[in-house]
Amino acid sequence: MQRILPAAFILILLAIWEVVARLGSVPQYILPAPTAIGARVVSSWGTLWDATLITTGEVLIGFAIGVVLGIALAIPIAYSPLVRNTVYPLIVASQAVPKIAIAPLLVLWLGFDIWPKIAVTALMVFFPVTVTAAEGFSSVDRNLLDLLRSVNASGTQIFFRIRFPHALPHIFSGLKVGITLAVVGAVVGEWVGADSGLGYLLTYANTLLDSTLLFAALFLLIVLGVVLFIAVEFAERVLLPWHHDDSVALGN
Amino acid sequence: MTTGELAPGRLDPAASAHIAVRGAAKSYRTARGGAQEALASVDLEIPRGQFVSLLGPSGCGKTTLLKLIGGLIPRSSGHLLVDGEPVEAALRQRKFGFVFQDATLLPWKNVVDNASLLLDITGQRNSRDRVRSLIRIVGLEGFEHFYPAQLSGGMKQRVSLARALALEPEILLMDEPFAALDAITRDRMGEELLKILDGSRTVVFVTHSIPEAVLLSDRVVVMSARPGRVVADVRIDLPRPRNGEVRRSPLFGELEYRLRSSIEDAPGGRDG
Repeated sequence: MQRILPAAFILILLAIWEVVARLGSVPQYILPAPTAIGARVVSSWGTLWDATLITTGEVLIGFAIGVVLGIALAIPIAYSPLVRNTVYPLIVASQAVPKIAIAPLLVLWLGFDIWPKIAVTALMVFFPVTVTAAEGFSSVDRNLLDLLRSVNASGTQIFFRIRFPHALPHIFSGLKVGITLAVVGAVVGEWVGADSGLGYLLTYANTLLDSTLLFAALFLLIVLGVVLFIAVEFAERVLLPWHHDDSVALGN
Repeated sequence: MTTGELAPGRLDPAASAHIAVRGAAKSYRTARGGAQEALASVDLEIPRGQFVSLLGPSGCGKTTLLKLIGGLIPRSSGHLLVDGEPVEAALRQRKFGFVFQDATLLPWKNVVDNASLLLDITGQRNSRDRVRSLIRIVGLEGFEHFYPAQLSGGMKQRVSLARALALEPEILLMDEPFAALDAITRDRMGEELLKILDGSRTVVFVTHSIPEAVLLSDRVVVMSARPGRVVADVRIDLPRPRNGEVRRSPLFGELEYRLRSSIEDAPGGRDG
């Protein structure tokens, strides 16, 4: 039941959509039927698949850069109150700037190729990673740190053996937010200046009023986002089995 | 009482004490720039092998005193000697083992790896056999490969105790180690601690439970709050080895009563 109900709910929504699109007086360029979108995914598969590969590449590279940047930034923030007080307001301000507004600037700086898309993506990803990683690095139990200092543990030992693994569950929450934002970032980057990718295909289909293609591209974006999210969750389960332990605690 | 003026390390009659606290005090700077006195000048001599409990209400500075003794926080004034040497030397020689109220285990490591943590950090990787025998001693045989999330509160504290004992410390500092456990588990852990330690180590044990202090200790130091200071120093002359039965002896009740009175007679004792 746990799995059947959500699936049934989605199927019912699609059926209602199909009926409204087919029987109603809604023109196809306003709302194409799900079956028409499905047929278009098949007929335009070559175009859609090429676009998906390009966008996936941008998402993955941008995500990787954002994660490395985010964690690297979190370390000085976690260790130094001075850095935290100086850098945090700037980081928050950088997030208040709409990415769509600075994307044209990034095109101007980085050119028309893949780099502005990667830059927008990385800009979206690093923020949740920095915030969660900084939280993770600095939330180690004080007594445990005292204990380790009492045996003269070095800063490197404490970081790699305690702080970093302790922060991993926090970081993974950031990665899950980050991966969905990464897809948004790549699409935004493509909107501003691109000749390929799913985001480009969206704007292209829009100008032609080819709503079926637009929805087909949208469908692949959703699939891409969901697959990447599941991949991150899978990585979390594999890397942090202790964090998702379902076994019941024993008695005394 | 010795004065706090002796130079650290100089031989004097009291230097035979395993731990000597001389006029140690601790104050914290408040946000407004003033000073909050957490611990007024404390003098305490603890002979080798003695089990001493620091007993008192919350906020009486017993944990502060414990952390001062273990060198985890710097003292504001006074002297602290271990085997007649400054506490810093004892820290370097790893003479202390710590157990806290929270087991502070690493959730990603199993029982053996948690118990070996300090050995790994100090590069004594070939001491696995010692850790395994310690795990047996604290009653966790068969649970070596369990993770903390799979253990109960009492079992986690057993791991924490094994971790502390793994470095073979001369002095065990325990900060309300059983306070977060349910009453039945707590009583049993106390009795087992007596068996495990077997009078072999100097122990400083912080608690706010009077029966726990009487059961475990050779001596109970009663503290009171605002600022934290020692108000009574009571010998517990119950015969050893002890077990749970000792709770029924008349002397046990009498000692409990004496300790309760000295807590309540202290200023601020009743509302502390």
